[in-house]
Amino acid sequence: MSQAITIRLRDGAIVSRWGWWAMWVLGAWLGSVALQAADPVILATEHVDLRIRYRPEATPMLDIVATNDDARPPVDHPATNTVLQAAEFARLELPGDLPPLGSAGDPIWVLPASQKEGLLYLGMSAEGNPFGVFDGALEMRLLSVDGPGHFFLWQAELGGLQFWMNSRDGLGPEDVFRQSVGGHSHFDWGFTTSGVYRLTFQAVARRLGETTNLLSDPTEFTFHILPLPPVTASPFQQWQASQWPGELNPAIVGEEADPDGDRLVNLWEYALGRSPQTTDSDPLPGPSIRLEGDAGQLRPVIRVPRAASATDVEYRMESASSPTGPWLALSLASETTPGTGDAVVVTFRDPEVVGQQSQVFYRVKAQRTNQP
Amino acid sequence: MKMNRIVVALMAVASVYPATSQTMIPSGHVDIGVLYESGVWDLHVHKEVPEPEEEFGPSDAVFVVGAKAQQAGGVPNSASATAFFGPAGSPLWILPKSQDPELPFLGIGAEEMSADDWNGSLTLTMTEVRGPGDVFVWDVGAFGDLQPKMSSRDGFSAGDALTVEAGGHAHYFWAFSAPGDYEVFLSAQGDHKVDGSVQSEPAGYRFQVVPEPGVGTLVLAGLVCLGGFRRRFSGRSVLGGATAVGPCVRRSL
Repeated sequence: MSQAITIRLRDGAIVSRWGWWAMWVLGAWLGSVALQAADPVILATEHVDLRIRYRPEATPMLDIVATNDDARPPVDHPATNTVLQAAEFARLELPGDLPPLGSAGDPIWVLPASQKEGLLYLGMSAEGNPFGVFDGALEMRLLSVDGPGHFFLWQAELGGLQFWMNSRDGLGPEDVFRQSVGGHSHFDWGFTTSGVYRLTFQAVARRLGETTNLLSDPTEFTFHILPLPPVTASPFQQWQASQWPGELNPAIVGEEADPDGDRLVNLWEYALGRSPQTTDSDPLPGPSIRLEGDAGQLRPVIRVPRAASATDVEYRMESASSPTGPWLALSLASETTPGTGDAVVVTFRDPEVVGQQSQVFYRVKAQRTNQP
Repeated sequence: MKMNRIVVALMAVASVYPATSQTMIPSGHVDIGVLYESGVWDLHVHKEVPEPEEEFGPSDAVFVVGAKAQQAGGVPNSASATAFFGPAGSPLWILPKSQDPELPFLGIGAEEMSADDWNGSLTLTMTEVRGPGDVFVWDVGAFGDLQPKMSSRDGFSAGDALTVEAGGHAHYFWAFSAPGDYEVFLSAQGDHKVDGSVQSEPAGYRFQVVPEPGVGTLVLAGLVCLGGFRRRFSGRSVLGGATAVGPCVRRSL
């Protein structure tokens, strides 16, 4: 996500400095505003099934949803907006060596096959699908496991444990459960450590009289196996918390919010070390543009101030022949040097010699990085 | 004459269930339904799949435990298994906790009740078994540990019980130690917030354990089929109404 401040350069001269204030509106990031994603649905104690649905009117005809069977009527939740959660007390210790689960004393978080108060009661289902359409059972295949540990799916019987899925020995065609149409099943779901797991499944079925399979899209379900590791706040997040303690409303604290109405959004307020809660009346510190070099070889040098503490913000330069674009990203290396007070100066040097074009517009985009 | 004697012998080993309107349930998802409503207990059978859903009185449906249920090798040779089921190798016919398309997927369903109406959980207790063998109900923990729930082998007590959550649904393992017909009596009890401690009369649920037919039985069934066809062609039907082993025997539903 980024904001932009635009500088206009024509025939080797900066045409208007005021323009850059106005230009920032034009140069404002015109990309689509990242909509605040709806909060995911967390299923932690309900009877839920990962259900294969056959909808011949849809493309693809198979999909997988998380059906909350406790709701009246049952509710289908898409994988993209669902978190399946295991409480901390799902943690058990193996009573003995139990390959492939592990060795005696090893921890394992288990969502059990029998309903237990306070824990998610999770199964797989092919209910709600028509009979007489499919040749055999519907398959739920495990394609991938992305997480801090291993994942197992099994059923405990009189004779021992029957494993259906096991990521410890790698994933392949044997990591599959076949569910008869109209039926559902429950399992023990095991995770060898806590954290966030992303399990990708795919539903497979074959209709009677056909020789090819129907496939669902690979469907990723997110599991939160508590406790989750602590998340270190970025410098920007710490700045947000200091400015608005306890406030989560993105219209106030978001990067693109402008709660003080001074036309400088929060990300730029942060990057420039300004206050997001009071209208800034004093002049903003830059950016500046100078032409440097030998006569006839003058090149633009753009210097943009940044708060020294805003280490998770980076600037990118773009140029265009018109304020309406199209804007082209410039692959310019930057140099950061100490500025005045608590600021640093980020310097970009355009290798293009001035005078070869009648006018050129520059735009500075600020965006957050993942680096603290 | 010889053929008539064979037919009579087969009918003697046929089901003890009278030729009434009982529904045979050999597969699909079916529950022992537990409901308390307006001061009245309603223990019943709830067939969910295959559709349409139907409900029956406890004695109006028969759970057919087919040959697929027979445990290879019988009772496992482990301390926990022999303590619960009896000697290792003893025959067992098991309805599994997980769904097998060739067997009833039997659960305990209390979804029609609300936990808000009860103080705590309900219990479902086995009070009596009529049949040729013993009946066992158990669960298995995540690591394979046997968790006994009900057993007729050691008599009946308050310990022969399952916990039932109002609004909930659960599955367990069921086993029978001999083929034949069983009637398993279950009684529900709970602490109702309005009506206090309430307990149902025992309700008899019917099971029919069908063994894998031996060679001799197959031959006998084949002979009976021939006799039945001959009689039918002559205008008289010998076999009717009774349920018995054999692919050519007519069942009444």
